[in-house]
Amino acid sequence: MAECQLLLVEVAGERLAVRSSQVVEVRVFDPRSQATRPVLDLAEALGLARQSAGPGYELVTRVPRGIACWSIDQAQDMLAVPEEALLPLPPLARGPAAERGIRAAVVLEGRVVLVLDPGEMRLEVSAESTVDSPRSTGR
Amino acid sequence: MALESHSQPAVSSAELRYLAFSAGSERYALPLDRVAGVQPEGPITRVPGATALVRGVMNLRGRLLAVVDLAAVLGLPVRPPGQGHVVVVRTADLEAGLLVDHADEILAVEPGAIEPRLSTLPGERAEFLDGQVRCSLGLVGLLRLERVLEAAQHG
Repeated sequence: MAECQLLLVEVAGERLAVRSSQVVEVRVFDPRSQATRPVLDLAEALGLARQSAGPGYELVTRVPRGIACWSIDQAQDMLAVPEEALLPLPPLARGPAAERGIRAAVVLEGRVVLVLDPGEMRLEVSAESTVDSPRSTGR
Repeated sequence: MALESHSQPAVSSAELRYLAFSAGSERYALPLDRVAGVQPEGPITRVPGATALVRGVMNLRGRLLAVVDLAAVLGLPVRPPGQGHVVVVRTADLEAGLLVDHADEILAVEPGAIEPRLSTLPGERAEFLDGQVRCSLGLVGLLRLERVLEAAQHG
């Protein structure tokens, strides 16, 4: 039975999963890295209201055009699930979520966890969608 | 609360059966053949980009179920999460959950007892009703399920 490794992360109070094959690294957010590579606000990209004072970590992911960095609150855990455990979203939730890189979910401990595909997210980098500093974006 | 736990009145072959439930202070019902079950409201995961009428997705025995907030669809005050019930409904095309306060009882309705919907209902609410019946619960609106789900899909 084929397995899939997932990294669980927390963003704006929500738990999300990312295939570990798409993850390059998770590192402490450093505002100086913005000069070389923009860190995109994942909470904003998903339309979620950020609950913490600012990003704690950067999730560095592989996307078709190279590398994309996303701000997250924290990385939680790594786990393996059977590929069959990744379920497509039901029709009422599918269309708009797919535009935000979410097409599937997995049930963990009875709760639905959305699976984020960074390669399917719109990568429109603007001043508003990047993260300035760890404590300056407390929205 | 399992659907089977509701007392089922004796019905004649001409009678239609509906599941009645509460949303806010109002009562609504769906034909029983559209209802697959009733579940306590469990953890519901918000879905980015979904309309405000879709509360999120929940785990239904290993399947994913999109949950539509009926109060939001009908323009009623929305209840805080956690204490409602989810009526699992089916159409020819899809399965979904309707978040309600609680299921009330199964109604046996004579077809002739179905009244046209009130012309005084707000327009946005009237479009979701096929009619209404009067029973021991009071006035119960008969929902047009397809219209409710269509509204949830398109916001």
